[in-house]
Amino acid sequence: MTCEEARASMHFHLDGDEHLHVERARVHTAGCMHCERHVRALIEVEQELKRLKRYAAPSGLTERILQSVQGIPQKRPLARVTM
Amino acid sequence: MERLGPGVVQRAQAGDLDAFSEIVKAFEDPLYTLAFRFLSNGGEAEDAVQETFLRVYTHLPRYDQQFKFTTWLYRIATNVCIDRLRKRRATASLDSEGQDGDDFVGEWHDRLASSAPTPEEMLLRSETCNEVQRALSDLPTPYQTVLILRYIQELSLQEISDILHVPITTVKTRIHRGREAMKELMARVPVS
Repeated sequence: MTCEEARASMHFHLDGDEHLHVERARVHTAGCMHCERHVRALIEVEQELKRLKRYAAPSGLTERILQSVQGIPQKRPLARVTM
Repeated sequence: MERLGPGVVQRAQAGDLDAFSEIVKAFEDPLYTLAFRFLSNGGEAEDAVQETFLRVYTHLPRYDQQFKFTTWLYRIATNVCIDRLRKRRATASLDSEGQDGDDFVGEWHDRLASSAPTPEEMLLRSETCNEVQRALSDLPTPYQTVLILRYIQELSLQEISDILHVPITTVKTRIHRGREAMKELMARVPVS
């Protein structure tokens, strides 16, 4: 297995898909310093993304939204096709 | 749908404003976060959330209950954000004709620097300058979209596939390429 193939397969490992190809990629990665570092950097990307803050909507947004829909007509429901 | 009580969507579909208000309260925070991660700007994120709920309200009678409500809601919110990014990029490329023109980071830093900040805005600014957010906003939109839905909204691959109307294999490919691109962007020495 080449480094390129191993790196491609390790993405499936990060997604939780385990199959034979992924197992072989894990073996390759464990013995290849460059691929090991590559995968560690990808895991770091995942962790950084998960660490990004979740926000509360600005205060008063609910009221502004409710005001904005006052008097706005809703679309008619689409006709259901019955078989 | 776990965030909403039984029958809330049906009542909102019939034009019940109290029920619609429950929907807004249940989802405005996650949708604001989603919009901020797309647009890197608090004011634009707020506008995007307002636009999303306006579209939700007008189209509610056409929502088909055999599909998951959150999928429908996230599809609208994602489309609103992508439309705004597209317009912004089109404007930026017109504005920067003759320049190399792909530096949106400079553009929103200029915009952010233009008025006195509130404490809330200060927090958003520090986040906007966050290296991870900057890398995320430099990604091509399809990669940015799947990474936001996957890691910030914590949606499953199946849900993302349903929201974007693309096969799961496509979602996976975009996530893989997005992670690689993020890795490259984050490895760059930040410009101070």
